[in-house]
Amino acid sequence: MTNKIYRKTLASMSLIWVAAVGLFASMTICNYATAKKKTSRSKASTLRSFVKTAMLQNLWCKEDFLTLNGGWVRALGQRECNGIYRLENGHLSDLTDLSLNVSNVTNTMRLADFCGRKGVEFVFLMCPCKIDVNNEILPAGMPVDARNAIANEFLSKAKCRTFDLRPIVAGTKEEVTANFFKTDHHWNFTGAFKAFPAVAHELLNMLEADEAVPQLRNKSWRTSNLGRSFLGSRGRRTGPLFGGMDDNVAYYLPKFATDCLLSVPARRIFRCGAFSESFIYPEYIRPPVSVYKDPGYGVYGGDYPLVRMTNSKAAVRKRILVVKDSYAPPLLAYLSSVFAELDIVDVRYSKDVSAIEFINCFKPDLVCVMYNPRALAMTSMFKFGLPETARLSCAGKESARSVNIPVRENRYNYVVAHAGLKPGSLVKVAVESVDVVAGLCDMATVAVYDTNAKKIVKWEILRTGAERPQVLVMSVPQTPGNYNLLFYAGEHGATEGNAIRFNGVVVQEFEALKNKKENAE
Amino acid sequence: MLFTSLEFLFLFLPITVGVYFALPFRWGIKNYWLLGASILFYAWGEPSFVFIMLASILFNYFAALLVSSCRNRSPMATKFFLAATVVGNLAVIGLWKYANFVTFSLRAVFPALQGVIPQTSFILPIGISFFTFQALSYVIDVYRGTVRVQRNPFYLALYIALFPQLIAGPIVRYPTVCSQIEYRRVSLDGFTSGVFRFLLGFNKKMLLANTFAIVADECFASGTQSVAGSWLGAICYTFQIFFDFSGYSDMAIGLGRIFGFQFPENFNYPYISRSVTEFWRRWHMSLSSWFRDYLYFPLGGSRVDSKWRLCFNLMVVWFATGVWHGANWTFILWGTLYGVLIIAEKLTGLPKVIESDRRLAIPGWLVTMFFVVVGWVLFRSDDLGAAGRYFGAMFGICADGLVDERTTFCASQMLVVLCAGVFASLPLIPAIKQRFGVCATPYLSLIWHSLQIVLFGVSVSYLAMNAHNPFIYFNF
Repeated sequence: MTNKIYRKTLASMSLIWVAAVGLFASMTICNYATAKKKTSRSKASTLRSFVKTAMLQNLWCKEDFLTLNGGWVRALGQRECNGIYRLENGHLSDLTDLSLNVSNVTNTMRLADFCGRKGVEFVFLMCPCKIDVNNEILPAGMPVDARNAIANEFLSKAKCRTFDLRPIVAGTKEEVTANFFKTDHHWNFTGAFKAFPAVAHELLNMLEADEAVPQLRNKSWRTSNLGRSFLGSRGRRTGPLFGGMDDNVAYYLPKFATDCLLSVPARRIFRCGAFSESFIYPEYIRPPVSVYKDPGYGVYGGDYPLVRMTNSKAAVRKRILVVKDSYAPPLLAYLSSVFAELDIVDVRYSKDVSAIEFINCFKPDLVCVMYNPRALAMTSMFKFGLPETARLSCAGKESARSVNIPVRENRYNYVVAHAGLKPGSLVKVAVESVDVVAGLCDMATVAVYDTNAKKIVKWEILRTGAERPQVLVMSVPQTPGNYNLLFYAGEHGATEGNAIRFNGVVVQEFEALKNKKENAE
Repeated sequence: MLFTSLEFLFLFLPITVGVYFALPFRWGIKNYWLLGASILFYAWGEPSFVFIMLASILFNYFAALLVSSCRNRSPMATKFFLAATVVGNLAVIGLWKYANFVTFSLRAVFPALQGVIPQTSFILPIGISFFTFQALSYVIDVYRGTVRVQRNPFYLALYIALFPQLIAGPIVRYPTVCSQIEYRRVSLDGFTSGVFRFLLGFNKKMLLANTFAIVADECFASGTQSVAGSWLGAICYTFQIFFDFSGYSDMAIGLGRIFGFQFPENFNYPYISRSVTEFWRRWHMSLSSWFRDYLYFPLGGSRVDSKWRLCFNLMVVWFATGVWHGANWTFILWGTLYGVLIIAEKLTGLPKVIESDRRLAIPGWLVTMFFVVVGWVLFRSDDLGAAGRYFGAMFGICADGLVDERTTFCASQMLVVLCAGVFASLPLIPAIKQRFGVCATPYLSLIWHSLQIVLFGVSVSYLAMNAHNPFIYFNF
C-alpha cells in the first residue's frame, strides 16, 4: 500500500467518523424536536441538566447502544451491567442493600388493628423476590442482596397475620429459575399461578369458607403463549445481548365459565365478559414496537390507583380489598376466579384517596396487603392513610334511586345528582346500570363541579349499556368552594341529543376529619 | 463540560468544529470563535468560575505588559512586577484551593485558634491549577525574554482558556503555541491524526479507566479488606489514573490538532519505567518540565556546590508537586515520598546503573512499580488515616484474611480488562513498527484505526447508559 493511499484511506475514515457524529447530533436534535413527550424544562434545575437530560432521552439509536453495551460487557465476561447482575442461573436482577424501615412494620400493624376494629380480616402476604431464600443464586463474591433479610426481619417484627410466599415460589435456585422471568424482576405467570392455590386456601381459611374449590385445580386452567420473546424491565437496562430474553412466556386462562367485570377508572377501562375478555389486556398481548417497549408483564394489568375485578360466577361471594405492588396483577386475576369481588388499591398512585378510605367505602370482608420484600424499605408503600387523616364519617346513607337526564340540544347536558359536597370529602358513587334512552353514546360522565370557579375539578366515566354495577370513588378538593356532583348525558362537551337513565344510584359522602396528622408515618 | 458527555460529543463539538471550518481565517475570526466556545465550555460546569478565570487572564495580561515595558529600562521594577505577578497568581490559587485546608489544619492543630480563624469553605474552580500555571509561565517567559509579549488580550485569553487543554492539561507553554495562535495551518492529515488521537483518548477513558474505577472505588471505600483485595484495588487505581489522565491528554492533543494546534505530549508509557526518575520523565511530562524550568532551575538545579543544597532543591520541587495536586496531607506526603526516592536515586546514581545493565531492568521495574503503586494509594486515600489503614491491609497488618470471595469475584470480572490495561500500557505500536518495518505498518495502522472507531461506538454506549465518568485530574 502506498503512502498516498494509506493517508487517503485514513482521512476518509476520519471524515466518515465526523459525518457519523454530525448525523447522530442532527438526528438527536430531530428526535427532541419531534418527541411527543418533551423533556421538561421546569424539572431541570439548570440549563446544563436540561440539555443533559434531553440528550439522553432523545439520543438517536439509544436502544441499539444499550444492546451494544450489554453485548460488550458480556464479551468481557462481566456479570454486572448498568447496575444489573447476571445471577448463577443466568437470570438478571438488581441487588439491593436497603434496610427495613421499622415504621412500615408499625403502619402495617396499625392497619391490621384498624381492620380488626372494623371486624374485617387482615393478612399481609409476603411476595417472593428474585433471590432464593438461601441466597444460593448469587455467585460467590457478588454483592449481598438484602431483600430476604428485610423480609425475615419484617415477618419477625410484624405482630399481625402474615403469609410468606417465598418458600412456595422461591425456596430454591431451581424454583426461582422456573417461577421468575429471566429478564424481569417480577415472578412470571407460572410463579404467580403456583402461588395462587396457596394464597386462595389461606384467604378461604380466614374467611371460613369451603376450601374445596374446583377452580383451584390445575386441570381447570389452560395455558396460552405470549407468542414472542419478552424483554423485561431488567433486560431493558442491559439489552438482549447481556442476559438474553424470555422465551415461551405462558399465561393462564380458566377452562371453566366466568362472568367478569374489570373497571380501571384511571385509564377509563371498563370491560365485561369472560375472563379472557375482561382481565386480559389485549394491548399487552400484541407485539410491541420494539423489544425495549415490551409490556408483556402487563397481560393481567399494571399499576393503577384503583382496579375493581368482579366475577359473578366465582366460588365464594366475598369481597377482598387488596393493597398491592406490581407483583399482584397476575395472582389477583387468578384469585378472581375464587372470590366474587376484588378491589385493588395501589397506594403509590392513589394520591387522592387513601387505602383506609377505600376500606370504608367498599366495606370488604378481608383486607390483604401484598408486597414484595423491596417495598418493605419504602415508606411510600405504607402510607395507608391511617385513621388520623382518613375521611371516616359517612354523612348519611342514601337509598337507591334513578336519575334521568332528558334530551337537550346542549353540549353540557347534565343534572345535579348531589349538591353541596364538602371540601376535602370523599364521594362514593354506586350505579346499578346506565341505560341510553336516546342518542348514541358509550359513556356517561360523573363530575365534581365547583360552581364558584365554574369549572370541573374531578371527573370519571361510567360505561353505558353494561348491565353491571359500577362504583366510583372521587375526592373533593380541600380548597373552599361550592361543589356539586353532576351526571352528564354522555361525554362531557358532547351530550347533544342524548338521554340517559342511571338506575340504582347511591351517592355517599364521607366527610374529612381535620386537624389531625398522620403521626406514625 | 466533560469530553466524555453526550452534550459535548453530539452538540458542542460538531457545532464548534463545523463553524470553525466554515469561518475564514482572516482577522482572527477563527480565534475569536474558539475563544467564545472555550468560555462556554468552561462556563458549562459552573458559570460563576468563568469570572475568576477571566480575571486571572486580565491580571496576567497587564502584568506581562508591565514586565515587558520595564524589562529594558528598569530591572528592579521588572523584578518587582514579576514578583507581584507570581504572588498574585499564587494568592489566587492559594485562596481558592488551599484556604480550606490551611484553616482546617490550623484549627485542628491549635484549638485555641478556633474562635479566631473561621473555617473557610471555598469551592474549587475546576482546572484552576492548570490555567494559573499556564498564565504564570507566560509572564515568566516574557520576563526572561523567551517570547514577545502578546498585545491582543483575546489571543492571550485563547492561549490560557483554549478548551481542549483548559481543565486538565497538558500544561502548554506560551512559546509552544504563540506562533500557532497567530497563524496555523490546518491540514487534512493533521485533522485526521487529531480525530484518531481524540478517539484513542476517549476509548481509554470510557473503556479502561471507568472500568478500573469500579473496582478501585469499591476497594478504597470498603472498610475492611483482604490482602489480595487491597492490592487489587491499588493496582486497579494505578491503571485507572493512567488511562484517565493520559486519555484526557490524548483527547486534548487530538482536539488541538483538529483545530491546527500542536500540544506537547504528556505521557510516554510511564509504567515501563525502571526507576522513579525515569517514571517522572514519562508521567505528566508537561508538569514535570514546568517545575523543572520554573522552580528547579531557578533554585540552582543540580549545578550546586553541595549535596545538601541539591537535596533541598529536589525536596522543594517535590513538595510543590505534591501541594499542586491538592490541599491534603496525603498529597504532601505523596510528593515528599517521591522527593525522597528521587534524592536517593540521584545520590546513588542508580538509574544510570539500571539503564546500563539489562539484568537489572526487571528488578528495577518491579521496585519502581512497587513505589508507584504505594504512591497511588497515598494519592487516592481521603486522609492519612485511611491511607494507613489501606497500607495495613496491603501488608497484612490489619487485613481481613489473605484472599476473600469478593476479591476473587472482582478479579475474575476484571481479567480481560486487566489484560487490556497491561497491553495498553506497553509501547506495542512503536515495537511493532520497529519489528515489522514501515511496509507492514499501514495495514496494521488501518486495522488499529478501524478498531478505534468500533470501540468509539462501544464507548458511546456507556454514555447512552448515563454512566458517570468525571476525570480525576479535574480536581487539581
